Amino acid sequence: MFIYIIRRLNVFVITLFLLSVVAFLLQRQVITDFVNTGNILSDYQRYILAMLSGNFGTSLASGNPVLTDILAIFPATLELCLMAFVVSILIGIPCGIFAGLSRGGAVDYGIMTITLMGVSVPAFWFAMLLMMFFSLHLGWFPVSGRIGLLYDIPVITGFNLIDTLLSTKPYKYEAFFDSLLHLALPTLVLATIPTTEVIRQVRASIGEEMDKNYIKAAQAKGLNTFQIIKRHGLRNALPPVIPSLGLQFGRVLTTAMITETVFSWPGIGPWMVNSIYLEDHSAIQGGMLFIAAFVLLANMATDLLHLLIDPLKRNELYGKS
Amino acid sequence: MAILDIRNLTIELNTSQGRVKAVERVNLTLTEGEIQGLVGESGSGKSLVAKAILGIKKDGWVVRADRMRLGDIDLLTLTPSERRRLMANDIAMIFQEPSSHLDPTQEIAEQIEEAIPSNTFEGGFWQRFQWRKKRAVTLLHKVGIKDPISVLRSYPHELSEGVCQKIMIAMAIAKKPRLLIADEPTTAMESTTQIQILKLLHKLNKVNNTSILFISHDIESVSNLSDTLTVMYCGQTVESGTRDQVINHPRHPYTNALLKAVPDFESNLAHKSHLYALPGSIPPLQHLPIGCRLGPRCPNAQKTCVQKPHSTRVKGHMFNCHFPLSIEDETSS
Ligand SMILES: Nc1ncnc2c1ncn2[C@@H]1O[C@H](COP(=O)(O)OP(=O)(O)OP(=O)(O)O)[C@@H](O)[C@H]1O
Ligand code: SF4
Ligand SMILES: [Mg+2]
Repeated sequence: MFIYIIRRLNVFVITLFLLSVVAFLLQRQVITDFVNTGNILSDYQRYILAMLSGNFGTSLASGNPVLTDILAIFPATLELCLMAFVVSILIGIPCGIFAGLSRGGAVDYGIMTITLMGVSVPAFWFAMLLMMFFSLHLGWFPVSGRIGLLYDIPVITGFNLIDTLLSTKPYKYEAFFDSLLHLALPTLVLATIPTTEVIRQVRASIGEEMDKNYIKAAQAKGLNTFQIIKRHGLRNALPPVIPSLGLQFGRVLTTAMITETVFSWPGIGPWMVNSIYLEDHSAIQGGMLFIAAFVLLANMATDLLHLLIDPLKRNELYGKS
Repeated sequence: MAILDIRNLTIELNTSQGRVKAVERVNLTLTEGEIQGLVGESGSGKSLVAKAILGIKKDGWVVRADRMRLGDIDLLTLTPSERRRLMANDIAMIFQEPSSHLDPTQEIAEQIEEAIPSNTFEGGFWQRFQWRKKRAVTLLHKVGIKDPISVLRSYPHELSEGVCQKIMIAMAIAKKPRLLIADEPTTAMESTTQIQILKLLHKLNKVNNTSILFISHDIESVSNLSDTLTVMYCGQTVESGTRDQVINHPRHPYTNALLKAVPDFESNLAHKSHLYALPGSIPPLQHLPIGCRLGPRCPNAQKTCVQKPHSTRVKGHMFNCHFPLSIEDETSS
């Protein structure tokens, strides 16, 4: 187990190293505030030391250190992504179970058709469609932003849903619901891709587990289908799905940038687009490295989570080492 | 009274090569309180019959029968909830391949406790809190597990196949069933523990009057325990009767071959002579011979054998053969 964690960390560090090399070489093409001495190795050394100490350079646009800007903006994106994952789990697991249990049946067919549509629809188009219908036509949801301009909530964690509740303002509950309303449509758009993935994985996993011998043995104990799924089906079918959820994180973050731009969500997406317009190289590069590191970290975290909750996976590792 | 009465059970499997009759017109009758042995080579469909009795099906199995009764219950027309109640209280099965029949992600303790029905509880209400745990420990002791506490805390993959098999047995006897189906219950154990388990089953039969269907490929080990025997070959019943009838006066060439392959039964076997065995091997399901499935391997086979033989019944001794061995034949040789 310990060896596995070390090995996993190793992969993380090496990937980050390769990323930094790519970023460094790109940067050398478009000289910025780093001084080029001509010696590529010593340049890289200087560069990596700066990066490790959190110095991504200074943003041309704001004049702040890039890291400060990113840390101020990233929670908005993270909030959106996490909500999307929560929604995808809440919708995806039950749908996946129903589809997996009625494999080949009408329910399965219906769910899989909708899933296929979900995969095929482009995010920006879906976002605009929702916005036109629910925000402009029906007026149920706000068109853009994170929270109404009337509410002034001090930033504590950067997550609006938490900050509104933590604040001492008299309108804190109104502010909470307002930010929920703002979150609704972007979350829905963003949740589409991970939801379809969760449905597909859970369906396959449940379908496979339910034909295994220990399920038949549970039937022989006289348990009903609901008890069997609850006590035996889920605990075997769900853990293997966790790592693939981590892999979705990269895709979700990219989609988040598009979604944020459509909904004018003040996250890292519009910020990056803006930096590109302004040719703010330090910001572009810092943002890129930060996002890449975050995605890698998320993958590693889900792998370790899988390791913690799945005794079979742990056993597999014992077998190897 | 017959506790189990099966007439013409046919099980078809959908395989990639099409639908095959893995079990064809099998008959089985089990009297209340008796131990019946079900014998046959590997792949003869014994486990399929057992699963059909329980009503456990996998994808692509079609089970049909003219009659299938457990006592006065008709197994063919049970609703799912009635079947569950039956499986919870009356029928238990010791599965073959025990470790695959245990949930790999759950501790043994929970799995055993799940198999203990609430109506087996005895004692005062103040004992209710821990009784399942205590009962699980007693059950494991009964099947000969020396350190039940640590076994209860283990996952199946941490235990040997033999221990898993004992756990399956413990779970099966937990509900004190009317009918126990034991599918090769002792294969994964060393011989001393095998004897212990066989004694346990015997005691269960005598004390609780549990009827047992004992499945094995080894006619010798089954015959010690059983009152009656049924022999299967390649998905068909070939012979059945009391132990004496089948062991001492076999009428079917296949039973005869099985018995001759066991040195103990042939006491007049010359020293170092070859063990008797039928030529060839059990045919794959995709290439079953028509008529009597033993045909290609049978020393007595003749033209008529391409027709399925009818069963002959003499004083409860049943055999399916066009040219049965005569009793004189058997005693004179
Ligand atoms: N799930 C399955 N899918 C396809 N074929 C199967 C399946 N289970 C069993 N069979 C086939 O059915 C036949 C009978 O199998 P069964 O397990 O009943 O044999 P058995 O008599 O119990 O043998 P053994 O002594 O090896 O347990 C075999 O040829 C086997 O290949
Ligand atoms: S019916 Fe024919 S082939 Fe079958 S066992 Fe009897 S003699 Fe042999
Ligand atoms: Mg078997």
